Amino acid sequence: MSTTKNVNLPDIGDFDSVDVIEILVKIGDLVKENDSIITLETDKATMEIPAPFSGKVTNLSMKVGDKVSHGDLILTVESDSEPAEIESEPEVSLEDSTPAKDQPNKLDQKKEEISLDTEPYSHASPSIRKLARELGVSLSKISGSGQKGRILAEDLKSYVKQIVTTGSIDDEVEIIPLSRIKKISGKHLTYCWTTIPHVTQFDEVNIEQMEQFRQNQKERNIKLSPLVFIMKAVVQVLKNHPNFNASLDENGENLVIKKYFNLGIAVDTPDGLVVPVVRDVGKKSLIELAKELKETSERAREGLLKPEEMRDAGFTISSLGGIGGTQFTPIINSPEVAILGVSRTQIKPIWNGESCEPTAMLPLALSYDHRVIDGAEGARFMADLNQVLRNITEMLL
Amino acid sequence: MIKTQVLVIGSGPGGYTASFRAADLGKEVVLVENHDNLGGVCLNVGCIPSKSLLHTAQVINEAKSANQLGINFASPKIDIKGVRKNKETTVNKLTAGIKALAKARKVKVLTGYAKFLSTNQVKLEGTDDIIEFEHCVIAAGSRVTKLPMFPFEDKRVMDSTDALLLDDIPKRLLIVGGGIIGLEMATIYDALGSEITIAELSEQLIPTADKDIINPLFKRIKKIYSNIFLNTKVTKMIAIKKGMKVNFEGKDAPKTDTFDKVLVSIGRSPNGHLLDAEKAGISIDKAGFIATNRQMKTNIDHIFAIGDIVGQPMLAHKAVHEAKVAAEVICGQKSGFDALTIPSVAYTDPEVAWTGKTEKELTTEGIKFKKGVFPWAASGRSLSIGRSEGITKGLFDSESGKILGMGICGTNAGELISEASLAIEMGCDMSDIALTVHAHPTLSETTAFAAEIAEGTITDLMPQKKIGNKYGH
Repeated sequence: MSTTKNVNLPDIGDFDSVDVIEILVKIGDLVKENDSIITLETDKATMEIPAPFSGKVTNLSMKVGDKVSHGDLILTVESDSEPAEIESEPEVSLEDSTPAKDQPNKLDQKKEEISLDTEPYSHASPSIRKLARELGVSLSKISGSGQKGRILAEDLKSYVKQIVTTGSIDDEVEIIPLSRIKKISGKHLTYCWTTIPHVTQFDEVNIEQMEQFRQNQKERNIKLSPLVFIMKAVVQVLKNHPNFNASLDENGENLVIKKYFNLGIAVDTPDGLVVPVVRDVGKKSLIELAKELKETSERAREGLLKPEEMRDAGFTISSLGGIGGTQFTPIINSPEVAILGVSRTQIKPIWNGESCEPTAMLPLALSYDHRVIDGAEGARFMADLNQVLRNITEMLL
Repeated sequence: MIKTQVLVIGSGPGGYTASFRAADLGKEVVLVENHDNLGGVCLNVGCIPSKSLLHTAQVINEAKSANQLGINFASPKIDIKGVRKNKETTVNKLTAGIKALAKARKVKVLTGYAKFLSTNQVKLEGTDDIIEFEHCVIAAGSRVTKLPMFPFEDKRVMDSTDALLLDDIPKRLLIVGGGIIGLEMATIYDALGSEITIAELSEQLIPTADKDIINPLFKRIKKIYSNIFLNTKVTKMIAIKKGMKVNFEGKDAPKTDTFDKVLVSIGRSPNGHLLDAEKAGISIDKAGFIATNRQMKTNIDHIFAIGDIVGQPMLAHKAVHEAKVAAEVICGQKSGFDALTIPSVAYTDPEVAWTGKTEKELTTEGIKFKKGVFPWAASGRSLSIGRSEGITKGLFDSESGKILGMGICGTNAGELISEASLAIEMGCDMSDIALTVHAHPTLSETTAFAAEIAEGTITDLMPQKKIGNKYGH
């Protein structure tokens, strides 16, 4: 049995003469109850009007651009749905008397309603869940700062405050556990940073001579990075400043001066920072060092370093020169007492007494343990290093 | 024609709470109740009168067992009129209290049976009174399930309402249905002197609870009552002069037996079909439940439903919370029903209470859990009150240790379960409960002990390896 029913514009609040901006159905369409049929636009918002019942659209009474008000005919629907059969006498049996547990809660909710049904479990007390509902916040987007990750009122407030002040929030976060290397080195770095009184001394070295030399070798197909020169120069200077090639013993009372010259070289790997040790740098040629460095870094990146290859350094160099930056403050690798940080070479105008000359300048940063090394000593070390690197022929001495 | 902002149908704990909350939030409220007294089933023919009679039963039982303490009382003389009067006094005090609360809030109380005429009107049956409302809260509850096979026209066949009237104390009483209501009525009639027989269809009393927490109760009443027939169906019941002749179908039950009275307590049915709610377009399922969302809204935007009529469990404390949600949503607040647990209590002797998930549910849902079961025989407090049969069982997530559920059988279990409900709402884990200092000696300690057992830190029992499977390990 089919009946024809009119669909009139329902009460949409305090609006008269609202613009129709879209007709979402056409004659002959089958619409279901709650399907949107037209879109209206007021000066405040646009809204979609749902079909109050299912059926086939037989006539459209509005077109885009019309101004409509409460009660106006929107369209006509031919409906063949009978009203739901409702039994006059409830059928109850013992087996049947516990339904409905799943049946409620399944009604479609209107858009402005809070959607409790989709909210996943969050570790939050009932009062916080209530507050979140009132604020319209999904707790699943907040990480709790309370015990065992419980979401506290403060967490909720700071989340809302962030939205209010920045207008948005980066909802999309991903939690990735730290790599094993980062977990281990993190603890060590924290120890170094918090227990060693660091001083960092900066300098820039004119490396025109070194660059010229490197260029010449390059033409002979011998590739030497600035790092190998720096390693050589550091060893040269360490020989005159034995306090820098040393470690402080555990109770901080004795300095252990090392008579060998092993350098730790910080290497960036996909899983984090590792510091393999190049042994007896003083005894190796630039070419040998370049070769060893290449080989060691490759194995470090593949995670193949053995623990003994990362022990017994007297001094460490961390070079970010290949990446960029003007300066940084390296953290001393305890129990060592000093570390050299290398940044990217820049061509700078340097006054040569008569004019400004474009000059390759290498930024260096020396962090040292102030318990062991005084400022003057640090400055002297840096000055000597500068001298050697500036005149690489001094390495021959 | 009466016009109101909010109409509430039914004055049980759900209905009166919804009325009062809406009134407190500034709405004009009409509350319609079919009966003369306010308070619905709970106050008039449910929770309250049964608890009054259960207290009477407890006094009788304790006096009886006082001989263990070296005190001998003579057998009690039961003045049934006095017992009834005490119960009625309690009920009247509370229903009068609700009336006073309604008056103080200017809630207009009307007596009558409301039936819907349209989405905005109800009519009080048998009158010309029509009430027009902006919002409506249906809190019309449930009624005793009556199957035609039970001849209720005979006065010797009772439902729970009849049984609470306490017309007499039958010599032999059959209780059909071993759920919470049946067992509470058994407790009352047993104390008053009836010989109790229980026939339960399923394999366990209170089938929704875990079997192990029912066991201490089962063992105790099995000794006291004449018979408890499980897996047993009542197939026929006819009135004869001597009593009610009942046919059973079950392994342990006799083919037939005759009882002085029969209490049928096989459940309750929602009243969804009794309101002409289809005239308002409200969807109702076959059983009579009205579907709502978690803001207690029905499919009709301005009509809400709460309590027994929206689904299981049919418990006053669920209705009360739903009522507040409905009233607050009507008043524009962003309320919602998001409780994680609704505790259940059987006020038997010993009491049984559980909250959160049962072991059965966890197993069905495939959730891995750890359990800690503490036997009250090791509780100093339990022994000192002369009872040792209880157990406290905690269920915890096997990975995170978070509490998932708890079940308690023993004296005051109903009072003890709230700690676990709070723990569930707060997302506590077993160590939170175990590390909370519980006063000693108390029954509440058993909750902490159950957590300690699950954690493996218990010292109040034999070392755990030795106790082996006995306590669930």
